[in-house]
Amino acid sequence: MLPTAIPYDITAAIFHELQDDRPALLNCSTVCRAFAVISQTQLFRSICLSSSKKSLLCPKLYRLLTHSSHIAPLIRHLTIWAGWRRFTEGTVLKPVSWVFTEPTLAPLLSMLSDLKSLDIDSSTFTLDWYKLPPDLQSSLLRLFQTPTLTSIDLKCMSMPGSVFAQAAQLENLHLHECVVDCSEAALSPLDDRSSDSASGTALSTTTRKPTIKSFMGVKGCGKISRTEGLTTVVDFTRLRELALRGFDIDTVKNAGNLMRECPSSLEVLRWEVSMGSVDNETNAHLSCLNLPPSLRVLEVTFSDWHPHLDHQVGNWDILAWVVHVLKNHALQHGTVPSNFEELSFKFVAMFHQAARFYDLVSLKAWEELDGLLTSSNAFGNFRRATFTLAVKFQAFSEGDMNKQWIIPLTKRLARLHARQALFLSAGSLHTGTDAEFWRGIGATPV
Amino acid sequence: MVLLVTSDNEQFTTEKDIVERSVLIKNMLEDVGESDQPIPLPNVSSSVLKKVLEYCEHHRGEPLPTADSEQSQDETRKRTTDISEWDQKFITVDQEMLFEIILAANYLDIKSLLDVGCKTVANMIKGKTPEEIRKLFNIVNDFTPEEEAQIKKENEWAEDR
Repeated sequence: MLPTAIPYDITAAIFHELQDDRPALLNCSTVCRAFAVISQTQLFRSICLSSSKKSLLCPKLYRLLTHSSHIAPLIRHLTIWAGWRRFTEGTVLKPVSWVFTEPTLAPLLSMLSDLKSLDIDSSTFTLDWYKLPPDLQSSLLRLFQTPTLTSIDLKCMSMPGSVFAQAAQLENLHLHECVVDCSEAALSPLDDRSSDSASGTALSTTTRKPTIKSFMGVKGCGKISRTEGLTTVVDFTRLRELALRGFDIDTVKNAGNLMRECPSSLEVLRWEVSMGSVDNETNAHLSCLNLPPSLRVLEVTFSDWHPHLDHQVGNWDILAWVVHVLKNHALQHGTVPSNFEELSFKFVAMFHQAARFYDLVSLKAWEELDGLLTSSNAFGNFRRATFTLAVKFQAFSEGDMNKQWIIPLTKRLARLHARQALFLSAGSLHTGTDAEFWRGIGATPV
Repeated sequence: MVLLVTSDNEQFTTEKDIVERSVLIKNMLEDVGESDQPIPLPNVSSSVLKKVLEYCEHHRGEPLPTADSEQSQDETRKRTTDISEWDQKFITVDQEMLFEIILAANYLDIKSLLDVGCKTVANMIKGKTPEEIRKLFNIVNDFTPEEEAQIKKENEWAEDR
């Protein structure tokens, strides 16, 4: 019954459930013609090119796409993992990635006509656009122009902003530790480089900026990340989701710039505070940020705070800022933004010895938040406010730890439970006394 | 109450919040407004509608998937194994009824029921050889030997990666 009486969409949905089971899909592909088409749609839907294990992966795929032309349009998601290795040139140790030397990569990319998302991961060393071979630049530019391409995720890349202007249909842009050069010089020369010498195909200049709906800007530990000026090549006025990682002056300024660009569309703001220096200037910029009235979800995550990096991590100012902006909004408008429904503070992978963690318990912001939640109808629009506590422990004395901050903190959070849901997650709490622990603070782990 | 009429002309009376798990029926009710008019379901037989209503009644009150959650579900949901115990028991039917339920869920636009059906069929396929799959679903191998060899050759890349 399956291949003939069941519509194609349903058979495709069945095979979609098998997308993580490659042996099953491979078996299905040789059952009958109808199954072959749908199985291959799943088998080639998501492709990762790397050099780590199979050095011939890229040339083999190129040969396949050349001989079986129906495969290339099946590829919708492509990840290129740069796979750096070091080699010695004279007396100098130099890193090199296979993407610079693999001759089939550029022609392979040129064959991908229906790509939906492109990830380039160069997380060890920065991949410099200007150092890429010209044919690879041309192929990548052509990929950016693909009408189906809506998502780009780049890790550790350095490139001119004009590259993004080519991606007219782009909706989701994630930049991890990237340097995007939006200087005047970096924005103009693409036209000069836009003729593909290999194929003679001219790359068109897009007439409108891509309209981004989801943007993520991540700054890693000690890594450079510069994306200022991106608004000159990308339209953020309809941005719905903004995710930021880092808490330094650049990140805060970037947040301010982007939030000003989309005063009536931003629905979700996620901010992860991991490492980065904080000074008075950062806080001054932070205090200028306001919540857009369209905001639905505000999530602040504190993560990866190590005791030996105490001097590098931020303080709790962002938490105080959240309370401050909510309070201000409530004072000015009598309520939080009318669409507001979720406030979430998360503490993940925190090492309890981090000295600053102890300050969290006595933070004045808790009192203020408590006051806000229990006063008037200012928070009537909340459907849920989620407080998640996930702590990664390292060589601790449980009694001291509980006494000094876990119990006081969770009791403080639990007070907010009077009006809102409280979710606490113990993360890697594996002491064998979990039940007792949770009973002690009157909460339930999730 | 809502009156439904099946392809074999049987009438079912059910509560609105139960039957509104079907997006098709929900939209129809919104279009006609308050009315006693029966809703014809020419693509669903009485035996299948009985099962569908049983499912809807059990899942009554559960939040319906939104467009956003559907998108995130697509990215993150666990595959094939995450069928609840009740759903597994519910969907333990003969193969013909299983596909009838899937077709009805598709027609009535009940996404969660369609998911359960698709996952169940996917689970039936897992771990079986091509010949076993043909036998299970009574499928004729319509490949020429050349076509089959070509498919196998194309799949080599997917096997290697």
